[in-house]
Amino acid sequence: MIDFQSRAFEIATAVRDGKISATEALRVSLARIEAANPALNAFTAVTSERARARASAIDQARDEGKPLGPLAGVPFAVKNLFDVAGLATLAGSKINRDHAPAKADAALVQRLEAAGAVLVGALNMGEYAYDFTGENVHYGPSRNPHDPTCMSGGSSGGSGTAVASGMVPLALGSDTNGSIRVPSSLCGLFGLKPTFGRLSRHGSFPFVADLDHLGPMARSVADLALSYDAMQGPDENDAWCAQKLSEPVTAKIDTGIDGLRIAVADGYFADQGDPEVHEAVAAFARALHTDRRVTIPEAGRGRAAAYVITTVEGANLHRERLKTRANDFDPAVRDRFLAGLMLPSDWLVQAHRFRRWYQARVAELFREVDIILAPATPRAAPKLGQVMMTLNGVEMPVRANLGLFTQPISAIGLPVVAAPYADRAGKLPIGVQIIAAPWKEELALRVARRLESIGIAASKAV
Amino acid sequence: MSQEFDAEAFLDATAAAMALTIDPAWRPAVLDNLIRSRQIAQAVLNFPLPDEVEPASVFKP
Repeated sequence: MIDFQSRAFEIATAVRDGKISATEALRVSLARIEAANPALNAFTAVTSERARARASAIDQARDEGKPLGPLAGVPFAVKNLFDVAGLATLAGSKINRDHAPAKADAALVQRLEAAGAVLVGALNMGEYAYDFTGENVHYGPSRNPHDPTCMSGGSSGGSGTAVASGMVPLALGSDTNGSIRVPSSLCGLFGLKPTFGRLSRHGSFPFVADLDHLGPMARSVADLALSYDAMQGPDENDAWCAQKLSEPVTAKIDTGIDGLRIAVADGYFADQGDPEVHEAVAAFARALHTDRRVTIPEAGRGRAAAYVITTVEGANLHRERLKTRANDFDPAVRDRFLAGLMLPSDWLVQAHRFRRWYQARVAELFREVDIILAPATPRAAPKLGQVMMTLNGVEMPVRANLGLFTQPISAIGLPVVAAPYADRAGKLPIGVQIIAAPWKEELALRVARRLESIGIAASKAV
Repeated sequence: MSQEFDAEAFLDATAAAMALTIDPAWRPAVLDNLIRSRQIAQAVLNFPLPDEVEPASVFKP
């Protein structure tokens, strides 16, 4: 039986086994979108016609005895900064509505569809991805399915909303400073931000070339692994994409965690944030039988470096639009970009030099441990429209600080699985970052899978 | 940050050099962002680095 709660791997198995058709799996997804999207605002476009043709082709292939892909019949949707043939790539903006429709799908959309998945639409996001809230002045906020008066988190907010409400079992997001991990935490999902350069960004609207990552969000670790495997591999069209062959993880996620050295990040990651986020980290550590702690050196400065690189390079990307169409930006985005456009070049170069230093120090740390646990967000979802929040007695802006714990990690491109803490007893979700050394996605996924298999990490559509 | 930062003067000079128009209605928010960005950047700028530490961007021809 397939319903809106079904995971991607369950749908793919049922379709391959002939228990349901891809067309039926699509019908379940489209019905859920129709029922839930008006109140939750996850989608900016539903590509139902294209999806029906795709699902029908999969069903026909099965009827003809042809082999089906690992994601056969799995409906998925993408943050609207991914190119979808025939749609203008909005990247959450009003300005990009004037762009010509994309001629082809983004590389990762092509790869997921080649594995049998079925694209059902494009998802809401914070304007130009400069956001941690999931709010959008042009298209309205993507709402948190666990409490629609609360933020989904951003900037992949629609991705969080769509998966957490069961509209789709799988969505793609982007993560420059935390935009996969923040909505995964606030919406109670598993999210994978792979190593920088692992997945091709070809055919996606950029934000910060030095920091942009793409990745999946889902309700099970197996779904992350299946989709990640389908998307791996080099792509000469993305100059920053590593020329690495695919390193499949799906068959390895259940191989356990024996011998893995796991530690909790202290210092910067323990000294701030609501007590409940540290309770989640502590629960994960207990379940993994570790009391080891490590200090990620100069994490706060790592975050500062990412901030400078983001604001300067992001502003540069938009410089012509800031000169000619400034009134068409979300004011909160525009005013940060205008400031970023004016910062001295010396600051940018120094931030990149600091990043090199910081990367080397953290690499030393990974000689002692394999996995580092840290909170994903400093708190559960704030209310929509909430501008300020208080952490440890200090009042600070919500928009910039939801990424407090994610930013120092993506600053140096480390792979991370965000995993939702299961034991929330009716409270809003909270996620934990499971951080590994570069190119060690497999280890983070194995730890996440262990936590999921013993029930301490769990995600359910609501 | 011992030196005083004249954000107004910085904005006027830089915007002029870049032929950038800052609408008066946006000016306070842009100034706030300049001041905040400068505060955050200090964490990087105040940290001494050895000469051999190169920028993290790599270009492979």
